[in-house]
Amino acid sequence: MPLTFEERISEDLDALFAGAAFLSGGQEAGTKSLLVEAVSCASSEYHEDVDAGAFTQWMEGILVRAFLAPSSAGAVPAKRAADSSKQSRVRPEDFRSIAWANIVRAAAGLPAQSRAALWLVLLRRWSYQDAASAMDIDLDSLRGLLTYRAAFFEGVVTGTADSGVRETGS
Amino acid sequence: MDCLRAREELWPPERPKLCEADVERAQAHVEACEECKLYFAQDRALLDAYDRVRRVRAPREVREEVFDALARARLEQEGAGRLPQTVSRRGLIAVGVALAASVTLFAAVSSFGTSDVASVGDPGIFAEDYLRRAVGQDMIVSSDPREVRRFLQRELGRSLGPMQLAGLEVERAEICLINGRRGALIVYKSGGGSISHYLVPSEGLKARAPSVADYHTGPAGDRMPLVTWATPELEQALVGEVRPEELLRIAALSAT
Repeated sequence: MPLTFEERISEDLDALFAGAAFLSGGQEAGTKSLLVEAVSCASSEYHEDVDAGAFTQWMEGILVRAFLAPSSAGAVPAKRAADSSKQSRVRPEDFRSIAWANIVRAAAGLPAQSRAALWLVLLRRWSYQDAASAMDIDLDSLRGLLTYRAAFFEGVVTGTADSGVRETGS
Repeated sequence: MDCLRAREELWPPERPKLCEADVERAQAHVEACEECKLYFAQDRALLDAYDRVRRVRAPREVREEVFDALARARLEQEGAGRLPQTVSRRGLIAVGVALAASVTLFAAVSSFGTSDVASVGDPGIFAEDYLRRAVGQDMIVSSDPREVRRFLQRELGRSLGPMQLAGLEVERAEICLINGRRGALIVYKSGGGSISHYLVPSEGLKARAPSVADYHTGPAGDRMPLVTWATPELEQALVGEVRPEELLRIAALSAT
C-alpha cells in the first residue's frame, strides 16, 4: 500500500524541521510556522506515486518557497553587501567541533534569499539549475546569492556571520 | 575554465558525472587549482558536520502542531469535496500486524473535531478512512504500564496509560496517525491472542457508550469485530482476536 502524505511527513519531519530552523535562522516561532505552512500547503498537492527521495526534495522545495513567499520573512530583499574578492579561508578541520547552534546562528546573519540558496545547494545538494528553479530566479541570481558562502562558513566557525563578506572565484 | 565554472560544472561533487568535455576540463582545473581544492574540502567538511549535527528532533509541540494543521487541512478538503488522491484511494482500514500472532489490527477511525461520532450512522465510512502505524521510531515495547504511560506522556503530551484489567497484559505502545491526528495504539496480550486499543485525542468530543461498530473484513479475509466509544476529548476503539462481547466488556470496564 502506498504511503500516505502523513506517513511520508512523519519520516521526513525531523529533517524538515532542521531545514525550517536553518531558514528561520533558529527562531523558534518562525521555524514552527514555516514548517506548518509548508506541510499544510503540500498536503493538498501530494501525489502518492512519488518515491521517497523525490518526496524529500519536493518538500524541501515547498519549504523554501513558503519561506520566500511574500508574506514570509524570507521575502525580505537581500541586504546589499560589500563585494569583496574574498574566498573563505576556513580550514576544513575547523568544522569538526561545530554544533547545530553554530549553523543556525551563522544562517541568521545572512540575507534570507542567500540562506535559502545556501541551504538548497550546499546542504541539500541541489543542482544550481534545480535550486534556481525552486526559488524562481535565474542562474546568475543564484550564483550571486551563493557568494555568501564565505560569510556563512566564517560565521559557522567563529560564531558570527558577517554578511558583508562575499566570496568570489578567479 | 575558471574556478566558478569548474565548481558549478562539478556540483554536487559526490554525484557521478558523464564524461563530457566540460566535466573533464572542470576536473582538470580543480586538480591544478589549490583554491578549488580548498573549496571542495571545505564543502565536504561542512556537509559532514551538518549531517552530524542536524539530527535534531522536532519537538513534540511542533509535531503536534504540524499534524493538527494536517487534520484541519483534511477537514477543509473534505468539506470542499476535493480529497487528495491518497485519501480517496484508501479504501482499506486495517493495517498493522501484531507481533508473533500475526493478528490483524483493525482501524477505528473517527470524524475529528467537528462532529459527534455517534451521530454518524454508518461505521463503514470510518472504515473507509485510513489508519497506519506512522512513526516507526515512536514505539515502545514494554509490559510496564508506568513506562508506557511515560512514553505516551512524552510523545503526546497527555496522560494516557494502559488499561489495567485482569487478563490483559500490555505488550507495546505506538504512536499512530488517524486522519492526520496523532494518537496512541496500545497492544495487549489476552489469552492466546492480541487486542489493540486506540486512543485518539479529539477536541470537543462528547462521551459515547461502547458499541460494536461493525464487522469488517481484514486483509486476510478474516472478519474482525470493532468496538468504539468515546470519553470526553478522546475517541477510542478496540479490535482483536476475541468475540465482540469480550471487547464490549473490556471497553465498558475501561470507560468506568
